[in-house]
Amino acid sequence: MKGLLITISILTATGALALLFGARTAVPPAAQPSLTSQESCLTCHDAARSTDDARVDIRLFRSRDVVHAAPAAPGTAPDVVLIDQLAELYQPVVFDHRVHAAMSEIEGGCVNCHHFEPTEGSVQPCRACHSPQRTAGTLDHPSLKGAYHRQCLACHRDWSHANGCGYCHQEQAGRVALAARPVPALAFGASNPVLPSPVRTEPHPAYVYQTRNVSAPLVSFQHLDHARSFDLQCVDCHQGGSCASCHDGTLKPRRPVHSMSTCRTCHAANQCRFCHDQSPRPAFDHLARTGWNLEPSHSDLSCVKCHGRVEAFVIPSGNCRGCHGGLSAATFDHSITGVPLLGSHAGFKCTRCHEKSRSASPARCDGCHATYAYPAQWPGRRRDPST
Amino acid sequence: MSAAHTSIDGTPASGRTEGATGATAIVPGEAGTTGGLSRRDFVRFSGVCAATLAAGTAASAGGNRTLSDDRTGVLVDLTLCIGCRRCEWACNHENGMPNGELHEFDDASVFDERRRPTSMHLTVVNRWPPSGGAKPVHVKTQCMHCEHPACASACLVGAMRKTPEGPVIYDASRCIGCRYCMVACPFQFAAYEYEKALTPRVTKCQFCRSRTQRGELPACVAMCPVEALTWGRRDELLILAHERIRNNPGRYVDHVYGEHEAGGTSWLYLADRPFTELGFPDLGSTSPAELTEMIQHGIFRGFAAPLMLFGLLGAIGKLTDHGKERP
Amino acid sequence: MNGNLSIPRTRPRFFTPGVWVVTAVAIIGAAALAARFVVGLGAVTNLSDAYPWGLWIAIDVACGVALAAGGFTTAFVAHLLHREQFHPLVRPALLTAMIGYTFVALGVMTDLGRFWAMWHVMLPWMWQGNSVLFEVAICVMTYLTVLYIEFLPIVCERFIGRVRLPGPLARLDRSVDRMLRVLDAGIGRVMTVFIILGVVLSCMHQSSLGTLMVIAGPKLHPLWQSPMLPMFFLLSAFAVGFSMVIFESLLASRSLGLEPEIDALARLASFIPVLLGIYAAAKVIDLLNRGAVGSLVQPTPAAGLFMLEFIGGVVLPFALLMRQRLRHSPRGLLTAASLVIFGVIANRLNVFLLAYTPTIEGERYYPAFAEFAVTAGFIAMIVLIYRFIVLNFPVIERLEEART
Repeated sequence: MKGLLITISILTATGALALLFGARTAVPPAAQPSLTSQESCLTCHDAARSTDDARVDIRLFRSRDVVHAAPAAPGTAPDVVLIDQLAELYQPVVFDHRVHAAMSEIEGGCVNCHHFEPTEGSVQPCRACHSPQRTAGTLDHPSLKGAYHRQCLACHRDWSHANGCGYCHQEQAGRVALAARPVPALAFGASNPVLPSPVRTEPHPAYVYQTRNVSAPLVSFQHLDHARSFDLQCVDCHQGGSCASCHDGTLKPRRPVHSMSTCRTCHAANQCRFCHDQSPRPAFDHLARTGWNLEPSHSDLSCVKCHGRVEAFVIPSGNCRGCHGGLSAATFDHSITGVPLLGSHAGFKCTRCHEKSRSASPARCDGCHATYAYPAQWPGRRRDPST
Repeated sequence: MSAAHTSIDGTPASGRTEGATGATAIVPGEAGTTGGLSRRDFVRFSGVCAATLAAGTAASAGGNRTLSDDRTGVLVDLTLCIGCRRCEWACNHENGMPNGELHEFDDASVFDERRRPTSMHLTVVNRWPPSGGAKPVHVKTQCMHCEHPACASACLVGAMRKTPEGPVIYDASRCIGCRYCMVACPFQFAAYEYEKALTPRVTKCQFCRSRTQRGELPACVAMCPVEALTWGRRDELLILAHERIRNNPGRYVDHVYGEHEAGGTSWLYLADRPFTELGFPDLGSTSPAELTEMIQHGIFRGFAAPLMLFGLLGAIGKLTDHGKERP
Repeated sequence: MNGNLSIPRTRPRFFTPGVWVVTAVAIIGAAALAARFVVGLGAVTNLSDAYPWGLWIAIDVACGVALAAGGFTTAFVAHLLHREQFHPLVRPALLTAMIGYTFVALGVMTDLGRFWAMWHVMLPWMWQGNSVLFEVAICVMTYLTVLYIEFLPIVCERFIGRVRLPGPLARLDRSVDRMLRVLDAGIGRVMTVFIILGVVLSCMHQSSLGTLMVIAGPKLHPLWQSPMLPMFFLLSAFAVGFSMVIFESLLASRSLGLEPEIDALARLASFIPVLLGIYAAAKVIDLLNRGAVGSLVQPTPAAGLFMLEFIGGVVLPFALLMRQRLRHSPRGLLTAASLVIFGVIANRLNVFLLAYTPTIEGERYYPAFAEFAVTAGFIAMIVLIYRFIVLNFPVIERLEEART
């Protein structure tokens, strides 16, 4: 009842204000929150001051945020958001929502940005409360432009140490010559920052940790393999801390993970020697260790694609049907392997070139051609005149 | 745009004319003090002199009483400012000043030296290095639009004028180019077009008066991406500023620069460290104009002192005259 | 001026070697002045946003007004206190004031960016009575007019009975002569009013010249910044007014080969230590009162400048002029008067220029060549015009006596 009274009084005051001051009205229509029975205005607002004045608008400051529920189910969030309501001097901004959502799992979660959800289970876009129109009356309630920039820059400035607009924005065409236009570094698929490493071991940069283990003190940690090949999310190892504790434009040496307990969430079942060694260890080489070449078509796959999670490692069946379920000579378009079968090769059975049923194994030419070898010579391609 | 803004069209000159008529009324009574001198034409002459001078002296004494309760200002939250300098771009653009492309304002090398507004740029942003590992602070500078502006008090032809709505406006058509306003400005934010031979102007932020009269925000305020600048009624901005300090313990120093400085300014600043570390002059809470006006109006109140001196000298001349006039 | 030919060319010729040098300086100054009006302030001066006022305001205007104070101080003692022995000094002092203020006005015009709008000051609807500068401007303009009126009797005396218009205009000689006589008689009747008005106006703007810098607040060094500045300026103007009369009289006598008016000058000089004493006491009390004495003990340039100005320009001449024997020696008088003049120039320079520090410190102001040239040129022009008028108008009594 009390809440209702206050609501009514605020609405009345706002209405009166709207009549009195026209566009100076403080609260844009979209920002009117609907209250549940447990809440009053005081849940969010400080109303320590008297509100008998007609200018109550700025005397109600939101000092706390209320989020009603865990935001929408995983997977329902957009991957990319095109921010185009405000484009004027600059082009619309392509916002990689997926990367930011993944990163926010480390600390805070969706609430980092979606700081106010009036109803259970909903996730509102920023513009639901923050109006694209900036009116003079919105004294302490930023318009959409202010809300976006404050939200983004609060973290971005922390680790980039830069304030240039060009990081996210492109000026409208015609405003700047193309050559001079700074290209924003969008982060699709490569969300991990380039990390510094004390020791570089090819092919990938690695961290080499000095541990207290006497017989095998060195642990070579392949960060890029973990992030890319093992299909781990940052949050799987990194927990807590601000963006800047990992991202830092100045690339100061940082060791956000330096506890074995983090590794043991996956590696517990393995022997010590799996990680510990006497000397730095190179990154895992699939061909050298297993004799099975990932080139050319499997090198970009993550390990788990074929082998499952690390905790439950599986050796894939030789016939590849685990992935290539509909694989048959009749339906397979060989050209997706990068080797189009042309001319006389077009009608061959798989086994004509590939050993046994392991279709993914490198092809052999010497069954027919005495002097040919794959991959020096490819079917359908002319021989190099010099050889 | 709204009722609040129609008041901007009020007549700011009204205070001046009132003051003038009020002062002329004093004169006939005061002129009697010159009775010690026998010559009638002298009495008439001094009366005219006194009338005109007193009228001038008292003319704009009432100028600062005409401030509107609705007068506006801008609150600058330095903890929000990111130093993108887009306010500079917007200001140049709005005022037809020499301007660069937007992306040229990303150039941080301008922060290497401390800048101040010039005749080419009415507002500039300076960077102050971080203290104790915090972020650097960026300070936008422009005319502060004082509540009781020293420049307007100094100007002898009323080319600088405090409007009741807040802005301090420069009118080049009155200006004679003496630059006394620049001597008087405690912030030293007025600049001058020295390079012009015939029509140099004092240049300073005019608070985008034409925009605000149309109901638009000042160009810099409208441009600011993080909305570190808030335009509004000065009294509301002050409440807002103190609320921000109260609601965000540790974020700000408990000081709204401009609330009292130099008698108060239309531009108000919030910061996370003492303002003296950010190049703000440490000014008292009275306008520099207050003292000179007190001295001037004290000496020349009702033009009594000069008239008394006149009478006294006349009396001395009479008393010491022993009949020998000069040859 | 048309009557030039009728002057009996007795002794002092206008041009001497020294005068040629002064003329050269004046010509260079005129050239620099022309440059300022053609290409603007920015091109020829080092004035900046931080230092809006420079050499011209400090010397041509502030010092000019102070050093021209001899006119009203002498007029006061001679005409209002009716001390007859000072009458020989009145006309030279009046002439100095008239030329001096004319060049103050010219100096202001030179410094004004929009000099062509100067007349705005005379439009009542432009008046801004809070402005100290407004009061100074109105007073200076009125006072300049008063000075010209006070000078009219000298013009009348020079031409009455001796009007010789050239060529066909000669027919008007008699009517011009009659007009001059009427004018002379009319002015004579109201002259006291103008003399009193001159003193009042002088007191007003001499003091207000000090008030001018009060509004600069903390930009002016605390050793000088004081609400008492108007009183200091007025007192020092009194002192320097007498000193200037002494200084000029002695110089003119020497230059024109005349006997100095040593008795009148010695009497005049006896006022100076009284004024300096009051000034010094007031200054010390003010420093103590404002707690600014602390800045004196620190070894800063400001403290040095202050001591130079105060010891050299106030204490020293005070000590010298307290001795009666010195007051009666031309050399001693000249030294003491020069020291007072030095003190006031130093004071005005300090207040308007040297002790002025901008809020945002940057490159310090140093006057450009053209600024020096114009100031030197103006001083040279003053000397030339003074010499011309003294040689052609009845200003210096002993010169007139020598002539007849």
